[in-house]
Amino acid sequence: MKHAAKSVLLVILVLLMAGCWDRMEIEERATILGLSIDLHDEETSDEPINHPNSDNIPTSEIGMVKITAQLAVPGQIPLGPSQGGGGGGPEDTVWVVKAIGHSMDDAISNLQQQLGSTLFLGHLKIIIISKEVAEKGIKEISDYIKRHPEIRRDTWLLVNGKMAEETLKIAPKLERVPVLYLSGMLDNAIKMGKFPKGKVGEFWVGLENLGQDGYLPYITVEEKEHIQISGLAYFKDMKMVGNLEPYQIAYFNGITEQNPGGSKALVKLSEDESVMFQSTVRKSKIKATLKDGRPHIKVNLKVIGNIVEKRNMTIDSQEVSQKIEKITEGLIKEQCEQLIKETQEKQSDIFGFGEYVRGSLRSYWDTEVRTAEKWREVYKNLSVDVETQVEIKEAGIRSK
Amino acid sequence: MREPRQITASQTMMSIFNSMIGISILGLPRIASEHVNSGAVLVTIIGLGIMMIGMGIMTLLGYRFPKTSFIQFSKQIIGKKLSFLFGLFILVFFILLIGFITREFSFMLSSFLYPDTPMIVLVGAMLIIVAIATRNDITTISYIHFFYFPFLLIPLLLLIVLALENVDIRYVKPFLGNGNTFSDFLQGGLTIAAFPFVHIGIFLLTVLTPHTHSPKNAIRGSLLGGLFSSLLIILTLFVTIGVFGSMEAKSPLWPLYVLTRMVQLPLELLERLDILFLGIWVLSAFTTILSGYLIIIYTGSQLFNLKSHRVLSYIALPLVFGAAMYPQNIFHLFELIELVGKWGLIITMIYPLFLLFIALIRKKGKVMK
Repeated sequence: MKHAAKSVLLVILVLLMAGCWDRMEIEERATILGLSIDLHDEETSDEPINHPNSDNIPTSEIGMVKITAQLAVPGQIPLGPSQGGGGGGPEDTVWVVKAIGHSMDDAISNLQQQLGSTLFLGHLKIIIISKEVAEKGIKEISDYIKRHPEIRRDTWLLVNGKMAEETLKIAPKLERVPVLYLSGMLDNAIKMGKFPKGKVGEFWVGLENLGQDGYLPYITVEEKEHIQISGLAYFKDMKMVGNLEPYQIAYFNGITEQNPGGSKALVKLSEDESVMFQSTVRKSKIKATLKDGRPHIKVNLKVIGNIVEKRNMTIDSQEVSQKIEKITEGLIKEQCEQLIKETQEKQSDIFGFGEYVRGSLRSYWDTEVRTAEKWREVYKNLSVDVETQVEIKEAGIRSK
Repeated sequence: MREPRQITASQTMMSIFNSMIGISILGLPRIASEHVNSGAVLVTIIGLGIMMIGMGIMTLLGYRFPKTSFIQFSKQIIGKKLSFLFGLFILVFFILLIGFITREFSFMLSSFLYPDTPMIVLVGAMLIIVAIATRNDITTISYIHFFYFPFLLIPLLLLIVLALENVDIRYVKPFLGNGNTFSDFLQGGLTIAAFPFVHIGIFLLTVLTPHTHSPKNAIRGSLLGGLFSSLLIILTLFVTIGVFGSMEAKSPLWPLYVLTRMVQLPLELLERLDILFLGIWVLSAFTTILSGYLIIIYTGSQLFNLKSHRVLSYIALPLVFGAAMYPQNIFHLFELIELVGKWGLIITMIYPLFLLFIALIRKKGKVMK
């Protein structure tokens, strides 16, 4: 009798614990790999799916949004290295679909309405927003991404200079899936030291912190064929206010101590002499002090690197190397100051100097600053000193 | 049936560790930074300090009355009627608390893993497994904790080590937080001391002490367990705040879980660790709920003079289940946990202190050397 009761219980448990409710075959899922968000300018309304068709529908602060999604076609994406021959191009492996809506989720639901299988965002790699969207503000988009349990913090959020949807249409030759190519490109740029760590998780940290602002990768599509990292979009609160040029990323990486190094700088020594300097290691010490009742930031930047190219000169002695170091120091100092000044004008503290002030000058922060808005005011006229030091370690395998 | 007395100090320690590392520490960084922003580490130290005092009181009581259980010696100290009344309070309090943490755990599972599975099934499955596990005697349950200990400790250490490289020391500064007053810290500390794991950790001692090898083992095990789990909780909090900053730590419901979703093994051995870690959190929830459930049925059996705690294993099930299904949504649940947790401080801190005080005055129990 006792055994019978036990076996009945076991059978019930098996039924309960099999988790059949959430069984989902991979073919039933429409896996979104990449998502792009554009503004929809025409006044045509969307399909009345979540709301009646009338003029009085709440619309997100940026207006109507157009969402383009790159879906993985089940069974078409090869696992492991592609075997060459036979395989089709990106047209076969992915599918690009579009929808418009009054808000993020409205657009996503409209997208779902067109598809036979359930949308799945767990493998989302990239979200691309157009510059227009970024400039109008990403508060609601950011909230949606953060709220969605399937979307991860290591998703890339990118700003495209023009239309975001273009990015999803390009067909690179190196990878079957365009979005994977793009995310691989960004990951690689970080490894080569050309780009700061800036996935959506890091962006949110910068956005939420009181003494810091967020930045996102800024890309452009060249000739509808390839994608180029063309700078860094920086934000003031929730709105994009400008973008850095690609060469400025090197100095940004220096100040925020992003390692490994790797970015290069063409250093002009005299009218017809120049060298190409490539950083390998960056060390940056930032200190916040109080000077005459106002905060003062001191940046001590040390860059260790190599010479990879030269023009019209011989590099054969410590003396020459020291001369190059001196001039490079001057260049880096000048560029860093320029960069800081530019962000100060736009009131976007992407370096997080405010966090140093908040951390080290607690009483100043508590009496004078307290809020992010106030910090941006202070940041505008913040005095920043940049000290640079350059060390040349190698100059290739030539003796002169 | 007589229960054997053979729990060792290390088993006591591991049991306390497993009971304290549970679902509530996932939300701890959020609540700590809500109270005192970047002073989160300090406020947690304060909260856990209060907990250590509670554990100290309980250990002293256990040392004075090594052979009797909590309910029995409270009868000796303050008489039958009053101790029965307080015993009932303890029972109701833990039934609510265990129900609520089971619900919180199920909420987490349903939002990340099983969106379509009914809540009843998630809650029910966990509680049934726990109820079956409590059919064992207390020594065996401490062996269960002994077995699971490395499965919780190693991933947690791994998490701390992996996340450590992303810690930005700016975010944990200033240690006192910005614009905080003393009362902010006091309130924050009390809120943290009212966390479910604190109550479970303290009251688990009342179950374990009568079954430990010797009172000395009990003292050593409980103090070590309390300190060790506190240390790990503070470390996990430190890395969470250090990676997110106190402002961002406020925004997810379970910041520590979000952190575990972010960490990656070096060399990209596995692209995603979150499913692995979700398994660890399920284990940690199981061990915590197991201890809590054991407290309910053990206290219940002592209160109603039953032969063994096993009798109540299934009887308590509908009660805890009812408590778990009561909250309407996650906000309601969090409010209830905080409310019940704060009132619970009377039961787990003030009542034992009161007992100890009376025992000292009336010279009951073994006199300390």
